[in-house]
Amino acid sequence: MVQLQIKKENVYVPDLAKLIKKRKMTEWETLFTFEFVEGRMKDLFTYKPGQFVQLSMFGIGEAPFSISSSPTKRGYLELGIRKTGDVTNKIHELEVGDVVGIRGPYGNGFPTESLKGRDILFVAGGIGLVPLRSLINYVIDNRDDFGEVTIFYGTRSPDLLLFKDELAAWEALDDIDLHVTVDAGDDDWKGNVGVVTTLFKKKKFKTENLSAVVCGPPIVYKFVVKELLDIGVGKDQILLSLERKMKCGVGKCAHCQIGHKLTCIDGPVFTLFQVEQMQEAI
Amino acid sequence: MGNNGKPTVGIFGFTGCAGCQLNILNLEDHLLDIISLVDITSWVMAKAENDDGPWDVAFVEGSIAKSTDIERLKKIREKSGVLVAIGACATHGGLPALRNLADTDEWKKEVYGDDYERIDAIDIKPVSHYVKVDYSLPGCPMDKAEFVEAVKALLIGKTPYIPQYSVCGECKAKENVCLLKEGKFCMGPVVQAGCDALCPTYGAACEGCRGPAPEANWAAEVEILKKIGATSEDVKRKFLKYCPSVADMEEFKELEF
Amino acid sequence: MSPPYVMKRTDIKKLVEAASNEYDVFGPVKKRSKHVFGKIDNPDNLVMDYDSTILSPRKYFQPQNEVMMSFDLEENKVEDTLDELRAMRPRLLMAVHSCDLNGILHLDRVFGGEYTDKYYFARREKTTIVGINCLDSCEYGFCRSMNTHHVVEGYDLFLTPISGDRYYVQVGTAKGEHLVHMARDIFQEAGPEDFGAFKAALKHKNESLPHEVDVEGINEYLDLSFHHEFWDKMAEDCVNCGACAMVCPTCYCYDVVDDLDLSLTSADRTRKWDACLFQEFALVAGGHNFRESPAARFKYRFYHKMRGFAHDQGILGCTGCGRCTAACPSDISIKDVLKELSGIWEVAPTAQGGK
Repeated sequence: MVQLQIKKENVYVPDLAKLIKKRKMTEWETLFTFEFVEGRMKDLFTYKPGQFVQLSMFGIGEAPFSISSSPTKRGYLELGIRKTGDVTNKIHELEVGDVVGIRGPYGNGFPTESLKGRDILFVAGGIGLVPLRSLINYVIDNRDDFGEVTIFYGTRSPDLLLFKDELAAWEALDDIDLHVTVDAGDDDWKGNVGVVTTLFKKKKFKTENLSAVVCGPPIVYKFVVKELLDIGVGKDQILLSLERKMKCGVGKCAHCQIGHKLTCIDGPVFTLFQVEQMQEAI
Repeated sequence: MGNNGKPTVGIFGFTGCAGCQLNILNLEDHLLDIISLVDITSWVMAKAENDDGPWDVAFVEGSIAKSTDIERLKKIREKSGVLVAIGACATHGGLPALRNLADTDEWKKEVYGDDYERIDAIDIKPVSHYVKVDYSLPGCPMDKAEFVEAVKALLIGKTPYIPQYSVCGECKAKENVCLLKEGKFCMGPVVQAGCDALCPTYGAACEGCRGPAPEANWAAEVEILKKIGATSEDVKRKFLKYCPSVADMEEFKELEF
Repeated sequence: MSPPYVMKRTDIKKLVEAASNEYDVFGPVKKRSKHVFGKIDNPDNLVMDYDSTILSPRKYFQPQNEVMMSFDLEENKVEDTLDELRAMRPRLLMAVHSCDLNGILHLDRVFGGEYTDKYYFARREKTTIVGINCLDSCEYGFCRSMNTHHVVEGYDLFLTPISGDRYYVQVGTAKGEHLVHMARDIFQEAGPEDFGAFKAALKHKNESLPHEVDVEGINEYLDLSFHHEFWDKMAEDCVNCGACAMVCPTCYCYDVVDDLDLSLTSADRTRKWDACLFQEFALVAGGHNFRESPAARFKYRFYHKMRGFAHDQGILGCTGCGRCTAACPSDISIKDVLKELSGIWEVAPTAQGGK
């Protein structure tokens, strides 16, 4: 996919974007759909699954967010955002029609080209599904390009499941094998109970052509990586999307530096091989 | 919200010199702007008519020095959405709390004579000892810029910005000559930044009026001061002068002076 | 290469006076017992022969606080400050040591690249730099160990003190040549005798600058030492105040904050110096801190400076200026850290607990 670069005079200046849809997913997370105010941006702004943007709430601050929509859907941008601080609290107060600033896309994104032809196991813990959803929908929209697709998704409880409608839609697809689990169920929960790694018992993988794509809170990586190595996935075929506090997004402020890598431009997607070279990465 | 749709604010003073409240009055450039955004419904120092709350935000100055203050403080807390402690007395006990270091009955007798038992005086504590404090603006006096920043932040609904490091960071950014290197007993390495290194900028050692920075390495500061000639007593006094409440912290109790 | 010149040292005043018509002039001035880079309104205040300055010249290219853009919250308008910056009066920065010239070259790499930082380069382009050769060592510096006692670029003019109370003047750029022409009569084209004097000065420098720290193998030492208890021991004295980062010529970390106007209708976005020593530096949304302990942050600063830079830029991030040592309230010496670090491996290359 050819990436159109928006040549900007000043990389730090955001473009204006309007909130066009707001869909509450859980008590804490909402899916926000934005479109750029300036018409030409709709064509110019292209991105890869796994990339992120810097979103400005003017006067409050700026924060990085993974893009949750798939680039196969043009003209808008979906960001799944959890309330955790000043910027995200304010974003949750936005009403349709309100304007924010967005700049990007930044980061390397997932290597969609080299994943072609491979079987893919997605492992998402909690809010980690937000960036993975972009790639999952990209794969679904280019289904013939990829091999077997499995999705493992775990959250703490059923009320924290994200993208519930979409989970149902993925479940209904014959060529997607979706497994969902919760750490603790409730009275209505009929599905799996246990942390996301327990799903590895559900399925035997042939690993010679398998790539794993993992995203979740820091604790998820350690345990999931262990499972993946146990079943024989190569270190260069385990892809982790890391979270750091990018302030600039373009490799200058150094907030997201891990070892000798910058999460914002070298990542946020790293192979396990790379992660092992970077101290304090996970 | 008040009748005019503006958030209501109460400003209260307990035991202290009232200098922090005075500092609010001294915000000449900003005071009218602030008043256009909020409704100050209680401020005994500055207003003839004061109501009895409730308040969206209460700014509380001073330390808690007598038992009747405790009840008054708790009432303010009950009637306030957000409570902000302003100044070293409210945040850490402040200079008045130096009296904690002496025997209460003894000084009471000396100051008030035979009738001393009538005097309501308890060990001085900061506001947070008795009620939940949402935000603290430390310092003696509280920094005016930080106050304005807090007002703006609360109005727009964000967390007031307080640097999470020590005065040395700010002091170096201002390119001050290090006073420790000149042999002055400076508290900069362990004291909460946010004052823009005001005292060291004018050649006066940091006295620690803003209290300990997060994760302050006090043991290192003890070493630093001793290396340039401070006695154990000097160091202890430096640590406790403006912030006697520090004496209650576990990290302080574990220190070897 | 442009032909070199010679000039009388006392003529520096004339150069500053001539340049003042076109430039705001900055250079080392006295501040109590130390020196700092400051504005030169009176050429008598300029100190050409100084030990070091508290802050490096970084502050002229990446100021402590910099408003990047303003927001009109009612109209949803964003306006950056680049035009103002470009309208700034040109600057002349006097008497920059080799270590600091190398520091500036570091910053050029950081702020350049695919995403060019226009603020940094607007300031950089507005600035003419007169470097000066240090022929003798300074109190805390160890430039020779870091190989920053020489420069081949990064200056517009470069002065080397030579015999006869003169400077040997190398011209690095057209900007430098422009400066020469502003006070043409104080510069004479260098002749064979001057080349001899220049060589003698370099010989003196070669003999006088000590080689104190061996950084050969530093990458390996660091890779092997990440989990070594040495770091915890070193960090015991660290107060995480960030003084070392503030004074460092190659530290560039910054934080970004929005400052609202009291009317709540407009705001400025400001970036300000930050330090990886600070508690919140690696904190992410939701409260996870990737470098939670003060010791982890202390260690990280060394790794980024000595190891991370080597990866990113192919060179170490330390210029050996010694400012961090001078600034540390706990007297932690970067030279000592480096020496001890290499010591661990010299003593027992296989027995220690590296991983």
